[in-house]
Amino acid sequence: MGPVVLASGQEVSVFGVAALGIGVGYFAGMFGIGGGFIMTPLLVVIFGVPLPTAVGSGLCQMVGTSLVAFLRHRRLTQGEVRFDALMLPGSLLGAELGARTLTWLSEAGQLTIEGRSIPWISLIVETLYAALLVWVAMSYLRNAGPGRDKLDYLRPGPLSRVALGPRLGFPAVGLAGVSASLVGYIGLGIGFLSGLLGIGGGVALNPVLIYGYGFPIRHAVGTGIAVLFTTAVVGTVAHSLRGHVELGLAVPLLVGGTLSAQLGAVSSRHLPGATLARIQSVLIFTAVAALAWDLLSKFR
Amino acid sequence: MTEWIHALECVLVPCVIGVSMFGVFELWDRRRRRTSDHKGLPVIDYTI
Repeated sequence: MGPVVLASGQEVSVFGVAALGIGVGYFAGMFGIGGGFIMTPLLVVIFGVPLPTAVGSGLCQMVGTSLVAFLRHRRLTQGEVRFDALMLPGSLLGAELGARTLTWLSEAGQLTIEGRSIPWISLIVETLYAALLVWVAMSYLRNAGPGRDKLDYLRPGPLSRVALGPRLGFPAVGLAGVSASLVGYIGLGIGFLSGLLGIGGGVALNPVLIYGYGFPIRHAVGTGIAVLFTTAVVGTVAHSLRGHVELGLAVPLLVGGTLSAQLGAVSSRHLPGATLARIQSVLIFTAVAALAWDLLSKFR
Repeated sequence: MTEWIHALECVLVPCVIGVSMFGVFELWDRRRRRTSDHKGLPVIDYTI
């Protein structure tokens, strides 16, 4: 099988991309996350795929992964559907805004300081990625301390007490009087991150649901999947119309990632939750270091 | 028009692969449940 030839003329090995999908999918299955938030920066750092193409192709593979997840969670009746419905309009708008912002950044040229230059798109998007990854790693580490495997997240979280009307109840997760407007704004933010960074948003949404609202973990992972699928479809269409989606990249990532995620999930049964959180944080910090290295190497 | 066909292809191809894999995983899960003594096998999330 020959390499994938990108619109930029660059060649990328299909086997290399599939291997990346398998590696990320394995850890994603092990930690109960999707992994797109690591996959997209690694496509840039390891294979030198242009950022808009990595983001667009990442969203395209996510159409498949989120559809599998949606079908699986629907069978298990997990998640709070009302939360999905409230987030959906904002997240669709956010995905389009994110795609437009990325296109605008890719045409914004370079920042030059003392004769050294770096593309604005790399500076802003890779820095945002690094900040998001550090935040996620810190929230996992903070909650990996002794005794944190207990169900202390079941209490209503601080976001469930925000007094911004109208207010609704979420019976599936035992919450009452939750601000519907705030949920809409969260959808907008998640959609924007999806369109801009090529992530499903679960990486940002799950900590918000678990630690912000106090959702039980199994309901948190089942909530937002319908939104993620719809956002991924809208983001894929928006990016493909701008020539940012390569099916040759998305398909091996999708197939390799979903198959190995099964194996990762089975392996995770042998490790305690706190250990998994620590390993996950180390992996995330490794991705941050790779991003920092990539940014520094571009600044010349 | 060509761009819209490409956009449709970019949505349909992962959807078809996703549904096919869901079918494969369901079969595999049924097999695991039949052969395993454990209840509550891990839920796998592919969302991000």
